Amino acid sequence: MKKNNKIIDFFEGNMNEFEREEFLNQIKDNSILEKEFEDYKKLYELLNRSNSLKPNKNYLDTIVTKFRTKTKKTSLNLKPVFALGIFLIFISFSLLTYYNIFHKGENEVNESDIFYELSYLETGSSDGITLYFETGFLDELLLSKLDEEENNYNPLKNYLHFESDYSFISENLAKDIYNELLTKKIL
Amino acid sequence: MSEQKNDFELIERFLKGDESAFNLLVKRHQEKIYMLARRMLGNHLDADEVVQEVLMVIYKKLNTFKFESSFSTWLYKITMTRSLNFIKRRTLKNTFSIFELRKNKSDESDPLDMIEGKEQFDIIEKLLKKLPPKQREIFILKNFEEMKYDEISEITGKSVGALKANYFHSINKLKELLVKYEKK
Repeated sequence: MKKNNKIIDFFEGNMNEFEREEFLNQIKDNSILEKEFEDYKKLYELLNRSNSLKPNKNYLDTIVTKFRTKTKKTSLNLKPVFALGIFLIFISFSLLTYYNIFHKGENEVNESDIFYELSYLETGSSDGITLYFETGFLDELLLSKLDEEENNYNPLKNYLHFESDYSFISENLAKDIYNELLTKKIL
Repeated sequence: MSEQKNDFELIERFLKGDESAFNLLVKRHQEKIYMLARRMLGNHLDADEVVQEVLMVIYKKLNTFKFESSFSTWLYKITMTRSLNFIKRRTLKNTFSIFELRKNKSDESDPLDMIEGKEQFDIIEKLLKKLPPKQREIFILKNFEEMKYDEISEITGKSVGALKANYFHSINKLKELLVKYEKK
């Protein structure tokens, strides 16, 4: 191996003039080393000959053109996709915003709305009331009113049609009046 | 030194938005890139693919180039990394024979055809293919690019001692392969 390395050093130019001459003399006296030397020489000659090889100009001229065509294609392919993505995001955002603005509180029903709609019902227009039937809100409202009536039952209230007047009479007084009316068999 | 200065000027021009400076820069180095890739990969089609990959990397990463080392060293590094990656990919692809059809379908001619010395080049190409890729890389940089060990060390990241050992080993191996080839 050391001898091989010496041969390589010889061909790589790692020896000075004196070392080169001494090495060449060694080779002359050693047929095995001489054979080895010849094999390396062939390799180095082959390497030197193939080293000067250059690709033809026609090919070299296509390199940049090919690259530029590639980059153009890439940029052309990417731009529409990017633009389409942005467009779709914009459309989705707009639709969501529109929906939120125009349908905000659509399913939220309050009592005043009911009476407003009921007034329409009385006058013959009942387009909006169906919504309250569908949501079941009317049922809930009716049940709660009935419960309230049941809990605060005051028989006199049924006979006093003017609630404003009734509000001036205390509850005990009202009961007394009611009992008196009963004993006098008015009712 | 003036070559390096010219490279730096072209890079600066390109970074300022002058696209034509990139074309000039490529034209200055395209032969070197191609021959490096060609020797690493052993055929024109693969080398051509790697050349285009290298140009794309340069185009996109030129803004990260530090003007401390030479542009050539940077270029060698990219070309060698891309070539080694390509060899890995090719090895994987070759496990599925279907991918081999690509080469047969292509009718692109070899830019080294019709050039004197092509026969010798073909022999070397065959022998180089038998070297392990990392060893091939060192041999190519040392022998064909005539680079010094410390320059190769900058590209490969290996110590000078390891590079010397690898280079001597590859020469010995190539000599053996050549003897075998001639006997055939």
